[in-house]
Amino acid sequence: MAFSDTCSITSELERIRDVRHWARLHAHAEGVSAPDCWAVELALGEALANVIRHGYEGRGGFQIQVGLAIDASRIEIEVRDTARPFARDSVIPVPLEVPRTGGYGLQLIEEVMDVVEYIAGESGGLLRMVKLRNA
Amino acid sequence: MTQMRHTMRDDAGVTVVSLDGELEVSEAPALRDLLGSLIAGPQSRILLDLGSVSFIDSSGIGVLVGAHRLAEQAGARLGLAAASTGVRRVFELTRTDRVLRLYVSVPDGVAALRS
Repeated sequence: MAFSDTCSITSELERIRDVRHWARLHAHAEGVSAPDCWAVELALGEALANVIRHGYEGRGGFQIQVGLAIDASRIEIEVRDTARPFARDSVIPVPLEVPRTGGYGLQLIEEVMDVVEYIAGESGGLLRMVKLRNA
Repeated sequence: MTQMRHTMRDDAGVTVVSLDGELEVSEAPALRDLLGSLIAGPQSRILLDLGSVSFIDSSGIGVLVGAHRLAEQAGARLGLAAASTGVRRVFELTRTDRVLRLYVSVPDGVAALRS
């Protein structure tokens, strides 16, 4: 990877903005296109919000680690938490034709990223998201 | 980055609320409260100027959908104007562009909400 870095935050929604900006600034500095920077920022923000709201059930003070790696072909994000495991199959897709006030996060992540995979462990989970550059 | 700010003005009976910043998860409750206080009844005409909103996430979308519903129930009108490319893209991805009243510019929105 040409670039890689990590950061960590505690599980408060107010902290998400800083991590989004951190990822966007690094991606921009690495020459990632504006649409891809936007996709990475959106997906990362939604992923962190899901971890805090659903994994930690809104409780603050828990650590979340974020990894960012960028090379000529892709941007890869990893979000590690110690929250209760998440099962993708447990999230029932709601038809987008029905407007609603919540539940768009996971669908947005899957729309804007090219690879999304979640690995549940004994002490938390790892969400891995990949955006292929200029795909 | 500072928190989202807003200013309000009256334009021919339409309350134009200009937002400045990021409409994201930590800002959503304040915007929900603001819109709830503005949607007072069938006479309410509210236009959100999104021209200086640089980012929106699913929480921001949720607030706008909720406010749209509240306005419909009250017989009021709520519109959104001047969204940037990135903000419009989120409307499209969530299909909310088919539900919300979206206008290219603030003058277009004011004219439409007055009619």
